[in-house]
Amino acid sequence: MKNIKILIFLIINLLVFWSCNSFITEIDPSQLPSTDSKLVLSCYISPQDTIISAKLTETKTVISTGGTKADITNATMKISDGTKTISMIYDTNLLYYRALPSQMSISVGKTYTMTVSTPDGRSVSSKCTVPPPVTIKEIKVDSGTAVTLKKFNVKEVKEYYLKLIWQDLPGTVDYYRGFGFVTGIFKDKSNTISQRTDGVDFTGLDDKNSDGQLLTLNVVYQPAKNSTSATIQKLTVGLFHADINYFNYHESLRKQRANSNPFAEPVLLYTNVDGGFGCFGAYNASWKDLKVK
Amino acid sequence: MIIRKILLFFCLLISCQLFAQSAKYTISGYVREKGSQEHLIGVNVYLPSTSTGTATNTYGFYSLTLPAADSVTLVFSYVGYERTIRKIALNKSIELNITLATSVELQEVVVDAKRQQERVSESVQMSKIEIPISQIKKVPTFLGEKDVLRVLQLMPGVQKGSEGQTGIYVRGGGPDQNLIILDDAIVYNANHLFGFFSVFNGDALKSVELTKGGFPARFGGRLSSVIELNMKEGNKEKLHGEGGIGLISSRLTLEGPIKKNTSSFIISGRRTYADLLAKPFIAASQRGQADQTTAGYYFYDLNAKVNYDFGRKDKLYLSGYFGQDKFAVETVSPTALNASGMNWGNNTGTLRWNHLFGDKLFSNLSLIFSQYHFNISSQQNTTDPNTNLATTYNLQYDSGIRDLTAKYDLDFFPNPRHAIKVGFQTIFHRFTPSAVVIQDSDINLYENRIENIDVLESGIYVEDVWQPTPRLKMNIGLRASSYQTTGKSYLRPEPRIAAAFKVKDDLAFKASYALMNQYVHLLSNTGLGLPTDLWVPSTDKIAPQQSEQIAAGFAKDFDKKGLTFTIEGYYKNMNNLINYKEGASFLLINNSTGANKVRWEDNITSGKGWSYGLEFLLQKKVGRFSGWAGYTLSWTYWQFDELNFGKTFFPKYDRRHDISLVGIYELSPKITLSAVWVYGTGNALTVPLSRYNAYGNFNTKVNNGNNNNGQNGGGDNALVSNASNLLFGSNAVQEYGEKNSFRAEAYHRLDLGIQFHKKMKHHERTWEFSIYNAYNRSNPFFYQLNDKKDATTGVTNTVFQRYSIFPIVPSFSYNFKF
Repeated sequence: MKNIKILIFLIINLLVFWSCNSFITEIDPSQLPSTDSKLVLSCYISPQDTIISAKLTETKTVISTGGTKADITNATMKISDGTKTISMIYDTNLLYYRALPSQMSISVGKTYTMTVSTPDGRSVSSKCTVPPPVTIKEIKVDSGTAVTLKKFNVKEVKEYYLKLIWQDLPGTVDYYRGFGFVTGIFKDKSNTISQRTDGVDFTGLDDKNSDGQLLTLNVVYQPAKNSTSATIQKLTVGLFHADINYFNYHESLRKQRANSNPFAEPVLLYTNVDGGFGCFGAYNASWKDLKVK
Repeated sequence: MIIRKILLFFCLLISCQLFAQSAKYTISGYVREKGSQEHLIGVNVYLPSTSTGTATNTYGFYSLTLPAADSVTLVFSYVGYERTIRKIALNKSIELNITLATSVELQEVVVDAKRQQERVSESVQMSKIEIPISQIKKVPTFLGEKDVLRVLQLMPGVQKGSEGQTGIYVRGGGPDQNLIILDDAIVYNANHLFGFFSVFNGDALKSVELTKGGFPARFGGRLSSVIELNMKEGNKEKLHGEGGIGLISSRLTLEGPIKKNTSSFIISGRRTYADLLAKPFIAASQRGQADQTTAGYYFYDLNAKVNYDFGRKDKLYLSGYFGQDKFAVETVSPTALNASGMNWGNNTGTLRWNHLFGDKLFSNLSLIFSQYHFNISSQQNTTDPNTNLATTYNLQYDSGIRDLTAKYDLDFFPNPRHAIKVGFQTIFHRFTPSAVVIQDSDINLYENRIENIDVLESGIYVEDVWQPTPRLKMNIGLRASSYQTTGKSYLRPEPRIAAAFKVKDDLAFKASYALMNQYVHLLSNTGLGLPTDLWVPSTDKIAPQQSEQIAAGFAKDFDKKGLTFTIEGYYKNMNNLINYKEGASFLLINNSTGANKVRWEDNITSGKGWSYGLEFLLQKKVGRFSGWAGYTLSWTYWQFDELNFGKTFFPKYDRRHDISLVGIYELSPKITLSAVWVYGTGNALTVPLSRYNAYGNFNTKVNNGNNNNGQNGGGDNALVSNASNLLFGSNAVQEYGEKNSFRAEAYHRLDLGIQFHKKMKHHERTWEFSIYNAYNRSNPFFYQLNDKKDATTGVTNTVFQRYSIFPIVPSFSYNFKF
């Protein structure tokens, strides 16, 4: 019996030694679902735009030397409104494919189709319909101080509350995105004074639970961290009445970027591009300015 | 209306039976264990060679009403105990209390083992698993800790979550869909140490039962399972103790009479001691330093119960569970104190009063308290050495749930064809979803609380185990559940039916249907059983979860071999399941961005799920060789409008195949061998598959096609300087394919155990050696993408890596009993 006990202790010691081995193993990429490189199209059309522009790139498998692939510049890209089709040409200065509204106007209620093919034989296509305009009722700016928690330290920071108000179109499912610019005079730590315009994303809102009501998008704007003081002069806000593709894509993009919590559900990116990724979306923009006293 | 019809039906049934009787007498009493006088639950009491019989209830009481006879033979049988036969003359109603002796260990199964164990073909209940505590104690352990929930995971239809976790997933349901009740009290977080251990100490438990479907009407409030645990009452005859010393914790149980045969107690405690062992080492490593840091983690739990027997008619029980996990770090320097901690735990208390009205009607009143509390704290005190000014900073984050419950149950045994239960339960829940309180010498007090939410959840039920013919047994029941909170209330009927038809003496066909509602939900980001998981109520925005399950199958007894075999198929659909939205987590609940204050409901989305499968179980509860073999083939699907763009997907714990083999062999009276092998299909996970530049629309009215390709823009809520020049915002993003489209590698593992028992002069001791994951399988815990630099080329590659946490883990423990 005594020998058995000694033997058992020896075995245990050996096992403990084994268990100290590293427990991270590299996985053969073939175990992952197959991922051929696919085309990624980005194009947003609006009746207010002075240009029709699109970007084309491609995916790169994540098990690789890192980074993303460059844009594809030699594709054949066509846009059609159902009766007329025009080509979009890559502009090496502007770094995107372009066409002018004089070649094809972007009109409310019309459905547009994009088809893209590359010399290596890949192709994608997508469709979207331009929504009607929605006017802004009011924009507002207010200011206050906020208590923030940074690394368990409490700080008071001046912040501005920007508000965008409009009347929702009744009877339809509508999607909106607000986007604004804050122009002001900023003083930084070295007392340099400069005028600057900051972009502020109001993010998106749909009317699923508030059809036909007065809708509001709020955003809190805090001047950049290196500003010691700021005087806001002007606020310009755009309300984009978007189609579902534009809305879902930008919302998922924003959420994926904001998601730094490893425990949170991963955010999947929306796409309406057949055979690839990205978005072909439409929106109708209205703008309003506010001089801030 | 339906309720009224069903009640009427029951009344008619009973009155028919009552009028039909002629000179009938009742035999009733309690069945106890010989020696300890512990009441035994589920003991079969029957007339041999007939289908007439009953079983003892949760308090060991039985009642059987039979026609007058000169001589009646009654058999009392219970797995692991000697069968007892009594012959009595039945010419008046009599009280017959029985004590059963434990069967001698290693005794071969009696050839005539019929009804030696509870026969599966005999009972109307299906989808129910009972594991004798004695068997649980022989299964190989993980780090020497006997874990009840871990053993339940080895049963078909029950799946574990991740490696090493005690979370339980029953028939496609989540870990929050299990009603875990300890002495009638709901236990909200059954985990210690982030789910690696459960809170239940096997030494204090008398019985464990898991019901996966065909739920009797007396249970309600969860969709997927009922795990009912009953604590021992305590030895009524003499002082008895049991304990163990393991690698991570030690435990001790004491039980004994307070007043012999009238009153007894049991107290059982367990505590880990890594913190105590590490203390001197941490102190030694900092000797002579100005800053002194102490850190530690421990958990403890304490079960206690007392009871008082006022005689045949009245009995009183008071029991409680208190458990806590605590992490703490503290740094003390001459000018500052820095302390942070995290602790969480459950407390429950149950007061029960049994009362007998006559010899056919048994009643129990329970008053129950249950609480789960989670707290994070941080404290910083600094003194400026020049000015002697002290600044303090204090943060407290709290979340939790507290229940006050009243429950009243009646068991009525009018005749052998009917066993009726009626009762009600009402729970007053108080939810504290999250509360942050900060005290700071600069800003005084900052508070951000979500108001406590008060809710009243009630249920009223009636059920009848009815045997219309010798071959057919049914449990027909109805529960009406109600739920009231500010601005919203629900009242829902929940019909339940289960039937067993005896095809042959040892073969039964069973089928069941159950509708369940669940009014409280668990928000979990990880499914790991972390203490941050949050219990939340149904509100005007969040509807109660609801499921319907049908199950059917065969149950067969192989009496000579002492084996039981069941095969069951089920289909379950679940509505209003809740899940965090993509990208949301509990941390967002405290997002205090002034105007954009979020309600916690805004982070949640609801959807539906359905699950179906087949389960096979071959089980042997007694004999030198015992154990079971289980296999499950199942599918689970979810569909949420806001997840995976509305497309159906497999939830993380969808598992196609699940196998478990458990064997216990008594080599000799001194040596017990045991082995467990499990296999499960890998979890369904979402992993990044490719990367690309996503161009967001940054269109501005100011740009007119300027030559710009911005970085860091488009869809980003952050600021972008001079954004007016941008047309496209570029973000490197990850593409995941469809949700949970990646299957983790299969999970399999072998555990081995050996126990050496020895009877000493005053006590019995057991040395136990266990090996967890004996062939050192690297089972996946999670996967991650990492950058890896190639030493020869210098190129950095992204690689996909599997992280495993438990390699082969040997352990030993010393256990004793006196």
